Amino acid sequence: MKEFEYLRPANLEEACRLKAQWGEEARVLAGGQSLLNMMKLRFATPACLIDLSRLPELQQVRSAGSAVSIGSMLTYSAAKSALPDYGVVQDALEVIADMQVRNLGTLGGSCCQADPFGDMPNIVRALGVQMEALSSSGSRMIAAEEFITGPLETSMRPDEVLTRLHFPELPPGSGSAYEKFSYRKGDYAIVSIAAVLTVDGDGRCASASLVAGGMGVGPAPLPKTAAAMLGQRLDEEQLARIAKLARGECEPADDAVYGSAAYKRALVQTLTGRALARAWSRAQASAQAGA
Amino acid sequence: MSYIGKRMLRREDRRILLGKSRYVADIRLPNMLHARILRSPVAHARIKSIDLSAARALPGVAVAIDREDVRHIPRFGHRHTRWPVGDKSVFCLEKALFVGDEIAAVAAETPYLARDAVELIEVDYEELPAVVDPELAMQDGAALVHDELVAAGIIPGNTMYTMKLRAGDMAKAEKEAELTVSGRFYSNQPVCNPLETHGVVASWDEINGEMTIWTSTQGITIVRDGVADLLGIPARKVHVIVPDVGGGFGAKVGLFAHELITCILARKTGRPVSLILDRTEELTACTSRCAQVRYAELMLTREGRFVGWREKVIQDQGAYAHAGPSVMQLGTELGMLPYKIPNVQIDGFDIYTNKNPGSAYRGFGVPQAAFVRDSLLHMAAKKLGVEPEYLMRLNMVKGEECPITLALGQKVDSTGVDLCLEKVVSEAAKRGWKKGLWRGMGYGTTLKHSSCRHPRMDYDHDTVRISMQGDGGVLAETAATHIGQGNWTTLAQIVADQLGMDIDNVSVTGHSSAGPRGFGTWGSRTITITGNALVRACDAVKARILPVAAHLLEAHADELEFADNGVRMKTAPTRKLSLRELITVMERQKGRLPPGMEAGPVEVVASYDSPTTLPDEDGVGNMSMTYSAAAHACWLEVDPGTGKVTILDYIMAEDAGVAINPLIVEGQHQGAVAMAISQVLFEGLRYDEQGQLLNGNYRDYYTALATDIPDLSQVHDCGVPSKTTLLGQKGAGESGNVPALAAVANAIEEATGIRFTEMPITPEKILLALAAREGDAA
Repeated sequence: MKEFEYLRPANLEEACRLKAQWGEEARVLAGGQSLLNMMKLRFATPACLIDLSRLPELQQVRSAGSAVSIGSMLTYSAAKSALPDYGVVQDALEVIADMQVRNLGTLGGSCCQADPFGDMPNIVRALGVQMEALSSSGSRMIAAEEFITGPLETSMRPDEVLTRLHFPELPPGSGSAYEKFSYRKGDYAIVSIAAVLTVDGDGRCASASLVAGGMGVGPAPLPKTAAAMLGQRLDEEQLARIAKLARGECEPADDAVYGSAAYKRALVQTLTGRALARAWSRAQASAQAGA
Repeated sequence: MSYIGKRMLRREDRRILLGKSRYVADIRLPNMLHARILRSPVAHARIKSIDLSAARALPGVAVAIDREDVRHIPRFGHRHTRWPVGDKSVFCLEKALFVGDEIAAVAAETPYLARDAVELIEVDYEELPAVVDPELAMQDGAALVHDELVAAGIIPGNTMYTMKLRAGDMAKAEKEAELTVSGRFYSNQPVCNPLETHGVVASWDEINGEMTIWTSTQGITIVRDGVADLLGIPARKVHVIVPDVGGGFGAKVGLFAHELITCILARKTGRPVSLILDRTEELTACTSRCAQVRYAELMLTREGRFVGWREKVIQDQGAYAHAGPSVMQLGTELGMLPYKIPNVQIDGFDIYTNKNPGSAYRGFGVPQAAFVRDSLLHMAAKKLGVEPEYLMRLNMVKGEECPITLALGQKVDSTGVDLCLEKVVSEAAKRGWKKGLWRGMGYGTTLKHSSCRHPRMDYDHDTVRISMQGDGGVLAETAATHIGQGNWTTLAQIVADQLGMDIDNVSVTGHSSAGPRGFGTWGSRTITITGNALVRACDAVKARILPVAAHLLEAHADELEFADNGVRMKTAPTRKLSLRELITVMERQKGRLPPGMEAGPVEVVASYDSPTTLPDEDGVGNMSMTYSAAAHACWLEVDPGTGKVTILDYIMAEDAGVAINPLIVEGQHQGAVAMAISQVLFEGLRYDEQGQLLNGNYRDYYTALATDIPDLSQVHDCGVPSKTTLLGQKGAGESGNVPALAAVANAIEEATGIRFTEMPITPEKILLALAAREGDAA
């Protein structure tokens, strides 16, 4: 590590003031599970860390109907009970790192880190989570698709801090799932697939969103594949067809360590099939429960 | 005999488990500086200039040094080559030879400042073509790694060592062969990955001209002699102290540049200096297992009898020799065991490349050879339509045949390898393993040498000192540092039994050059060579004490025995003198001693050198006095959607001779198997075509996690006592590392129908091979 200032603001107002004051020189410290490793390797050398991890208002969970909003500093462990109906989140919580990391790491921190092999960026993208950012001049909502702009890059301004993640309402017949392949348990993904869909009264797919992680750039949506699902009953044959479409649509980067493009394409096919099968059965269960 | 064979808890563990152990990084000396090495970011480059001025100007920096400070120091690293000069200088003099090579160093008030200062050093590199692929590097016209050694006429090119192994008559083998299986195999380049990285603290006493070094090493005397020789300090004035060591596995045998650099910094500043390498340095620059390409052919008769072995071995040595040439020779020659192959023709080429050097790593070359051998055996079994265990049984050395001398002169004094094989075969049947869709099982075997006489080093000895204390206790000093193997417990069991003592009265140490001038701990030598030296030392102690006891007990020496912390009449155990009484008499009561005997302490130094021989120019010789054995069986499942391998179950049987402490023997085996599973499925340094290391941290360098290792709790004991070692003991730390590589590869072939010949066998390789086969079928 390089020497740095450590600041722990007492409230959000002070946090915004400090962020405005230090600008790009400062990084927000959330759970520190990615940032501190990068600092140890001197890949990140912030002059100042602004520790928001203990601000109570950034831990709060609020529900309105079936929609839930969480503070950006909510840890993975705490999110388990806060977001029970989002299958895609629950799946991810089982495969993100290890218990120690999940006890410290935060959903907001993972989104801001924007690691192209991370998990949360794919999930907020697939669900269409609204990201709330605050600065001294006020707060604004950023749509998930506009939040991450590239590997390790977000559209947050230097004077802003991420305060809340607004998860959307889940109509009856909603189902979602997350599939991730890593060489070892708890590693960053080689490839991951976040699938979110709804089933209508006829038992057909009414909406679908599919996002691939591990492609090398950040969350990579597969809109053509998702569109091909609409109006379909996702039986085994359809799942196989759609999984193959996903393989064709994805554009993974070749990586000497994390796998060749050919391998990642094959994984996209396998994981899409598995994620959709689970999301579909959850959607059907949700439809039945709603009926 | 009450301790040998007893499952005793390791006495080393308590302080480690309670967090009370102290490693080099825990050492804080008054006024101590912290050092950091600048390492080459490029694989191969001429160093045009180095500018230390900005680093020196940084407040808090005490000193910055580079090649200009070390030009007068001789080159080193020729222990295993026996060249007139070494291939390594303290800092790169003209060229940087791999990513991680030492360029310069600073010592500063804090470790953070030292890092800041290193970033300020400016080096002008003129990049040269990187030599990455050993098969290309050995061709004429390839860029030269060590052009200075070529110019000096020491080596002809990048081929730094050529090995020839010859036995029997290959023409005869070819005539007899009714089936030949062959392949090109690649053995990957994992690193040892000790939990504790390499680290050194050096302190220079200017007045007396003495250097004290605390270092994380397996070889106290190698460090002492090396530092003394290269820095021009008398060896008697170099003191090496080894605190707790957090693992070695071979990577801490030998003298390293960072040890010399720390001493130089301490001498220049007159202040103690601490240098703790980080994980990236450990992965990048602290040696690795020797990667090898092996073109191998196994010739058999129709009934499955092995008649010939032909092989071309190309070893990727990396930038420096270290122990590489010995790894290739010993590993190849002894890696053929336990199979009887009458006709052998092997040519080996050790090739310099611009990479992390290959050196000692648990198994010392035997795993690489055995991976190829047991893979080919499995392939042959499939062609012949027989079970692999049938071929193993038919061709392996059996206990009843021992002692037996094999084609290359390897004398197997005793073995339980046949028992190990039968054990795992019957156990697999008992557990109901079945070949099924995407499921398969495979076997692997080994004989692993217990210490050895390395080619070009005509010695295989160790030395210990036993001092009887006035309170009746005994201190046994060795040079065998404890690097996590529980050797101080095991050796204490030996001493306690030899002297008839309660083990609580026995201390064994091995952490300082103030101890006897022994060698160190590696290559399964501690239990055999050090153990034998201890037996000899105990015999000498007994020979000193016995006449005194006989005199005082008014008995004949042959009526007495050492037991119950003393010496007593065999027939009347109550007629006894305690060791405390005896030592007191011997040290302080001359009048009670036999007439003419002088008073004095009982302190004995003893050595043991194994009854082995160097190989001749055909490689024929008996380099190891005994071999431990093992057989493994692996049952696994492959996910056809991802290529992921899950090991469902794993069976181990081993022969460690007389197991002094079965608990420790089993633990060694379990750890060695986990390490091998990690190598075959996950590990290995990866370099790109420019010689850049692609996986220099633990996010990118994969080792197996606990979740990847099957239940290894049961190790079947098939021990057969050695006929050569003094207690029948054999090595235990390495045999487990050998059979797992082929056992896993063989099981993967059974599960998928595809033979993988290159480690690591990753999910990617498996899935793409499955896809290619489907494509071919369609």
